[in-house]
Order: sequence, then structure tokens, then C-alpha cells
Amino acid sequence: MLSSLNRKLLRDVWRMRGQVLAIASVVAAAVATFVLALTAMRSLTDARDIYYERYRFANVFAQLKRAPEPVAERLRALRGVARVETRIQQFITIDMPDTIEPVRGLFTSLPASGEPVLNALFLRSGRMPSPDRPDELVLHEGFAEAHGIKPGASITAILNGKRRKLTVVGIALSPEFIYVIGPGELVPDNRRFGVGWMTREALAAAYDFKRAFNGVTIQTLRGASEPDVVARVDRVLAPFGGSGAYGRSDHISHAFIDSELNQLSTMASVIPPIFFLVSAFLLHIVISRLIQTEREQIGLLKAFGYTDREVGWHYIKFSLVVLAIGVALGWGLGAWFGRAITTMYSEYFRFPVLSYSASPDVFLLAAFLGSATAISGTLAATTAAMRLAPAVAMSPPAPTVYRETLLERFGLGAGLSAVGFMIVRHIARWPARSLATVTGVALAIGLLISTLQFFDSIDVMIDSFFFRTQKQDATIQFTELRSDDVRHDLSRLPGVLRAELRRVAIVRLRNGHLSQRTLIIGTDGDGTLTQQVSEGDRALGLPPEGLVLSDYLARQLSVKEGDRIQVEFLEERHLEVVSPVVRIASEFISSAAYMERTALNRLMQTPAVADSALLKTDTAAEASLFRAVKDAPGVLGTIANKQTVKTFRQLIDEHLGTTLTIYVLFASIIAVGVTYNSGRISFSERANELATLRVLGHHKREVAAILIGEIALLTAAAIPLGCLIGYGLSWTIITMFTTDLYRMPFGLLPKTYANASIAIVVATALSCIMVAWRVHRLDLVRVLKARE
Amino acid sequence: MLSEPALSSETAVRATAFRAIGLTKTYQMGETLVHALRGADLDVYRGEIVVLLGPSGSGKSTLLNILGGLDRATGGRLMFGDTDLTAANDRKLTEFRRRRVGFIFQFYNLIPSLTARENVTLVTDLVAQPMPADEALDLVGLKERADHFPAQLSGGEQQRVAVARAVAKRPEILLCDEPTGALDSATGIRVLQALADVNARIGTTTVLITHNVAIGAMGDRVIHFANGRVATIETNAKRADPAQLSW
Repeated sequence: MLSSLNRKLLRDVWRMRGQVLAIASVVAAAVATFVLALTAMRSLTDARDIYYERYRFANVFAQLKRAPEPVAERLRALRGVARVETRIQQFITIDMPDTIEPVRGLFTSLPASGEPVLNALFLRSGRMPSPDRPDELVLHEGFAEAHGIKPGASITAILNGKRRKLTVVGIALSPEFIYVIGPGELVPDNRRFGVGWMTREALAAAYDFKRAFNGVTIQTLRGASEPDVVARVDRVLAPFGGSGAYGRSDHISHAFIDSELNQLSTMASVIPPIFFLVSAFLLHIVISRLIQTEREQIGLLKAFGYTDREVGWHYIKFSLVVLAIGVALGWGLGAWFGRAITTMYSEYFRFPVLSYSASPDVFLLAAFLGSATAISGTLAATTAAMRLAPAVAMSPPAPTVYRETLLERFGLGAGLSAVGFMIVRHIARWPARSLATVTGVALAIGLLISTLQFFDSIDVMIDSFFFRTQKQDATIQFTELRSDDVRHDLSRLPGVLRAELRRVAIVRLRNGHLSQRTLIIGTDGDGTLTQQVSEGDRALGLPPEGLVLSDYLARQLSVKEGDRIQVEFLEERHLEVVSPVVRIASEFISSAAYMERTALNRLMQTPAVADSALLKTDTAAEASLFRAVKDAPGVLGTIANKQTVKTFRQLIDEHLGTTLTIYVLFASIIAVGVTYNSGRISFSERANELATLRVLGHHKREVAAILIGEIALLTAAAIPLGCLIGYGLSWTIITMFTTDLYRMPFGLLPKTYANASIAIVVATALSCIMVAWRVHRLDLVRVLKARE
Repeated sequence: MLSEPALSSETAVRATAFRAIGLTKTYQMGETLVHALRGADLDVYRGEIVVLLGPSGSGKSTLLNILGGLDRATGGRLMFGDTDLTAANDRKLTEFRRRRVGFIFQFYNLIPSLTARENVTLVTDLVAQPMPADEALDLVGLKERADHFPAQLSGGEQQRVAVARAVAKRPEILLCDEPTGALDSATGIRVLQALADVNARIGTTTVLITHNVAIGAMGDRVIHFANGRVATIETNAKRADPAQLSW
């Protein structure tokens, strides 16, 4: 049996269903962002951890030139090492008839036993290659899907300069290639980069690696220090052309998942709190105004003998009901979007199983945060209700004292009509309330701007990377180092307008105890196809000597222009030199170091050589260029910049775009929630006044204009404040989003301010329509009968 | 005072402002059907002051609302001159109120954010040839307090502002629902005085609802309402000056 007070509660909720729903959606938006970010993160983390565990993902990796197999025993004997597996890993060119450009591949050997001890394969279909069949191949699912390859099909690959027809016998996944990205690529492109596995014997025969290896994967003992193991492995492999061992954090697939998880965790820690904060604020406004309009009822309840606590609890329960609706909605929305995002991940991150894990603790935590929000938002208002004395509550509130506004005293209200005065004085009479509404709307604008800004940031990033710093149309990667004469061959290729050579060195940079494993990219000093830019987007020329560091790298190493740092070249002889940092470049994608190529070659004590070339091409001749390159000896593959921009955009649009659209949607819900509530409350507070005007003969539209005018004026005031809040929030979020791989530029475009403002104006207009509908249905007789 | 049947031969020749024939009004209140008017027949003549007396729930407020175009009758006819108000739509009723009717309520219903003068201009803005706001306030003796906000005025003053607001557009009809209900007798009399003055000066047809039998004396006619219809109509030979009233 429901008590009368509870029945009143339920009926109040029903009576105010529009407002209840509006507030509940604000809470729902906060809960949903929290649930979606956390469950997506949890799903991804769980899938990764389980995959790593079951398929024995290694923790230390190393590449080298070539070492005889017995060296493996020395590695096994190292302190902290549990398991060692050697392998042959080769970049190869695949000739795919359905792709114009040469397609690059990375083939890894499978041990003689068939199944790798570390980084085991998950066979999606087919089987592993037979030990006695050197022409059998297992392909990674991503590449196979992109080209429609099924077990039984055959492909042509160029192994060590020889064309070989290989039969695909299986399609597989590997914990090493959850995120498959070609060297030098920014985004996965399954059509142009493929991963495959062949028997050790087959690869050894093709590359003359009998009883030798060029790659090692290591599992360390639990509790062993990874940097120590890395250092020990480096010492063993140095004489064999080891290019520096590294842990998972420098493993490209792992690093990308990590960066994604970082982003998710940032989203979970930055965006939902803002949403929760805004909804607490809104609840405060709404509940306190609701209590204001209910003061007679409160007085009555107290006159009957209900205690202050009972009355207070009644209103807290009201917020809890709103909260419960909001939490339920938020759970549903959060789980739905969380599942959608997780499904989307399975396109970029290749897991055997990536299932959505709806951990109950996340949902409970969301509910807890929601309740904390609701209670903190309503506490002040309910305390006020508890404090109302029965007699005070029963008598009508003293007539509101209005005064001339400051503006009028300065004679600025001269042109105002009576309706104009009503609007202006009402706003001025309740400055705190008006300010609260303005702040609420401004927060909604701020949320919109801070979510929309990601698109701006990406635009700036793409513009800066592809159109300012990387202006080449194509990059050609050679199979081995080539002398500078290659420039001559390149310029004879069809459609090549300009060719510049490049050399990339894997290095470890050290400044005192700080060190970073990175790349030095050497390009020609007189080159025009790439350039680094300074903070203010000014082109930085390459100095004839010394390093240009990306600003991120400079921060990590704590160096500034003019400092000298240690450079260890990880390939070849482990040369160690000291080089000055001449300039700091501003970079958003990657964090590399740059040097004039001649200077780099000199430091590396090699003649003038290059490992890749940048081309400016005639777009019309692109197809014949790619055909020519495909057949050219010594070319591993090409990267077409236009294609990269396209795939990058696609990735952003599909992936980040979806996530951001969800946030923008939630921010819009908040915007509608705020504006509708302020309009609706304003309506109930002034119903009597409005009815009087209607009785006096004002038309509906004239009466609606008073409310709409007030809402419009407050919204107009909120827009500049909202833009300011948006700027601050955006800056905070961008700062928190910086990871090793991506740094987002902060570059709010005017169109984002405009779009957010337009969205708010539309939300306000919607709310105005709802208010106008109320005015339309205003029951004059009933309103006038009620005392003010 | 003479007692007479509705529609006497003497009054029938005078110009009619309202003619109500068999007005009924029912509305749903929860699960019960309330008959607020059960066939009210009534004429209101131009320029007269009619006092509607009757117990709570007798239907007098419902009638006033229908006369003023705030509400529609369920059945019967209501003519205002040649206009059939029972057939008018919402827009026409608003126009009717806007051009022809002034209202005065028990709780004044002033707009608290507007000064006395602005409360008056609020309605004078609506019509073509209104009385200047200051003149209307002068009429109720409040010219000096034109720049005061409602919260700065006493109850009687607020109600006089309401009278000024109602008469400033020179309405043909003035409808007053318990205009003295919230006031003490001295203040109430000042308000009634104002109403009588307006009627005398601009000849506004005035319908006044009250519980207070004493007020009946200031009207040309007193219509007693009971059970949703007109019970009796009394005609006063001479209207009493509100100053002589007491309760």
C-alpha cells in the first residue's frame, strides 16, 4: 500500500513528465558517456589481456641482421629470460592483380614444430603450412578479407628478388598483429600491407638463412626488469647487427591499442565528469524552482504534522525517481553505444573474439555517480524546503518587489514596450536564477564545442601533416640501402616531377637518464617535399649539422634548442655520437628526430646512401608510375600519400567520428534539457501573469513572446560565455589526450563556435515551440482562480 | 426595491449589451459532471451596473467568464449586440476581449514587474483610442503613484490600478469578479467608488459579482443567482452612492 505522500510523488512525477524526462535525459547523457567509455575500454582491455595470455604474446622483441642459431642459447641463458624464440622476418613485395601499387608484406617464419611458442597464431580457417611444403602460406585475416582471399587461393610474392607463387592454406590472427600497420604508415591499410607466415625452412631457403635468424621474441620471467633484459639482449645481439631490443610499449600493434585505451580512459575521465557536473547543476536549478512553486503544499504538509525530515526526504525521493529514470535510460544508451563502439573496434583491432563486456561494476559505479550527482544537486533546494515554516509556506509569497533596472536608470529602457519591461525586469529581478540559466545553457554550449573541436583538431592535424610537412605524392621504399645514383633512375620513371632521397635510422636518444627509442629521418637539406614547422607554423629549414627534434620528443627528453644529446644508432655497429639539438619542430603525428641526410650518413660513417625516396608526381601518370615501380627491382613498396589521407580520413570518420557523434548527441540532449526546463519553469512561475494578459486581450503569440523573449535573451547572453567555457574545456581535454603516438593540435575553428551556437539556438527554438504550445493550452479560468 | 420577473416590458426597450438565452455549462471534474449553468436567461443593458449575487457554486463566476469570452457555453446562445459569442472561435474571443472588455479580479492580477502606469499602458497599447494612462490613474485617484511597482502599493491601491487598467481602453463592458473580496470595507468602498465614477463618466456597462449583499444597492439591477440559473432580478429605483454603503 502506497502512502499518500508516495502517491503524491508518483503523480507529481507524472504531472511534470516533460520536465522529468528532460532532467532524466541530462542524467542519462552523463551516465551513458560514462558507461560507454568504460565498458568499451573494459571490453578492449579484456579481449587484449586474454588474447595476450592465451596466445603467449612476447614481452621483448628484437631485430638483427643475422645471427647463427646457437646465439639463441646465449639469449636463453640471460638472467630474467623465460623463453626465447628465433625467427626469420622479411619485408617482401606482393603482386596483387587487383591493386595498382606494389603491395608490401611482412612474412614471418613458423618454427619447424609448426606452432610458435610465443605469439601463437589463431587459425581462423584452413590449416598451418605442411613442414615439407615451402610454397604454403598462412595469411593474416585483414589482408585476406581486403582482397577476398580464401584458403586454396594463390598469390604471387617477390621473395629476395624472385617471383614465387604461394598457396594460401590458412587464414590466421596473431597477438602481434592486432593492429596491422605497415612501416611508415599512419593508419592500417589492409589492401596495401599484408602479414603472412611461412615455414622457417621456406624463408630460410629463400633468404639464405640456414640455421640463422634475424628476429627474436622473448618472454621474460615474472618480476624481471624489462629494461635490464632489453639491455642484456642488446649486448648479445650487437655484434649481429641488432637494431635494439624493445618492450611491448615500443611494439607498434601494442602501442596503438594502448593509445586507443588511453584515449578511451581519457574520455571516461574527462567527458562524463563534465556531463555529471552539468546535470547536478541543472537538477539544482530545477528542484529549487519546483520547491518554490510548491511552497503552499509544503506548508500544508507541515501543518498536518509531517516533519521537516519527511518533507525533505519527499523531495529527495523526487530527485531519486528522476535519477532512476535517468540512470536506467543512461544504462541502456551507454550499453547500446558501448556495444556499437566495441563492434567498430573489431574492424581495426583483430581479435579472435572481441565481445562487449557489460561489467556490472561499471553500471553500478555509473549509478552511484549519478546518485551522488542528483543528491548533491538537490540538497540545497531540499534543505530550503525543510526550513520553510508552515505558516510562511501557507501564505502566498510576498509580492515580488521589482525595481527599475540599472539600464533604465541610465535611460536606456526608453524604447521598451511594456512587454519589453516585463522581460528585462524579470531577468534583473532574479539575477541568480537568470545567471543559473545562462550558465546552464553556456555549459551545454561548452560541452558541444569541446566535443565538436575534435573534428577541427583532426583537420588541423591532417592539414599540417599531409599538406605542410609531408608534401610528397608518393614514398618509395627500397629493399636495401641504395647509393645516391638511384635518384637518376627515379627521375626517369614515368610521371616523376621531382625525387628526393631519404634515410631513416633507428636510434636511441639519451639525455642523462632519459632515453627514447625513435627514428632519425634524414632528408636532403635542399629538399622541398618535406619540412618541419615551428610552433607558429613557420617552416624550419634543416640545419647542415645537428638534430631537429619534435616538440614531444624534446619534452620527453627534457631538452631545449642548443642542448647536446647522445645518439645511439641501433643498427650497424651501435655507433654512439653526441649531436646538438638545433631546432624544435611542432608535430602532431609521430615523434621523430630529423637531420640533413648528408650529415646523418656522415654520423653513421656510411657513403651517401638512402633507403627510400619521396616523389612529386604528375597525377595523370600515376598508374603507369605504379606499374613501373611494381616491376622495378630493389623496390619494396610505395605509399601513395593521397591514399593515406583517404584511409586516414576514413578511419577518423568511421571510428572517432562515431564516438564523437555520440558525444555531440549527448551534449545536444543536455542543451535541449536545459533550455526546455528553463522555459518550462518560467512558464509555470508566470502562468498567472500570462493568463492575465490573455484575459486582458493579448493574443497567444503576444503572450508567448514574453517567455520566448526571455529565453532568447538569456540564450543570447549564454552564447559568448559558452564559447569561453568551450575554449577552456577543449584546451583541457586536448591536453589530456596527448599520447606517444598522437598529439592533438588545439585549433578551434570559428565554424565550431558557430555550429555549437546554432545547435543551441535550434534547441532553444524547440523549447520555445514547447513553451508556445503551453501558452496555447493555457486554461485562463483555472489559472485566474488560483491565488498568485 | 421592486421584485419583478425577468425581462420586464419597461427594460426591454433599452439597448441590450448581452442577451443570454438558455445558457448551459457543464464540465468534467474528475469523474463527475458538474452543471455550472443550467439554462440561464438574462439581458444586460448598455450603461447599467448589474450586481450578480449568489452563493458559491451558483454559477455566477461561470456566467461572468462566458460573458467576458474567457470560456464557452456548452449550450444556449449568448449575443453581444448582433454578435453570436457562442459561435466565436478562440481568436474572435480574444479580439472581443481586446477591443470591448475590461476585467477586474479579486486578486488584482497586476503584473508585478511593471509600474502602475506600465500596467495600464499594457492594455492601452492594444486599442486604437485609449484613455491616456495618467488620466486613467487620475480617475482612480492614483496619479501620484503612477511610478510605483505593485509591491509598493497597498491592496486597495493595487485594485484601483486594476480598475484604471480595465477602464483605460474605454471598454464597452467592465466585468468585475469579487473586486472587493480581498479588501477591508473602507478600501473596498474606494474601489467601488472608482467603478461607479467610471460608469457615470464613460457609461461602461458593468457586471459585478459579489457575495456581499450590501453592494447590491449601488447597481441598477441586482440579479440573484442560484443553482446555475437566474432566480430573481431586483431593480433599484435609484443607485446608491458607494460612499453610503457599509458592511
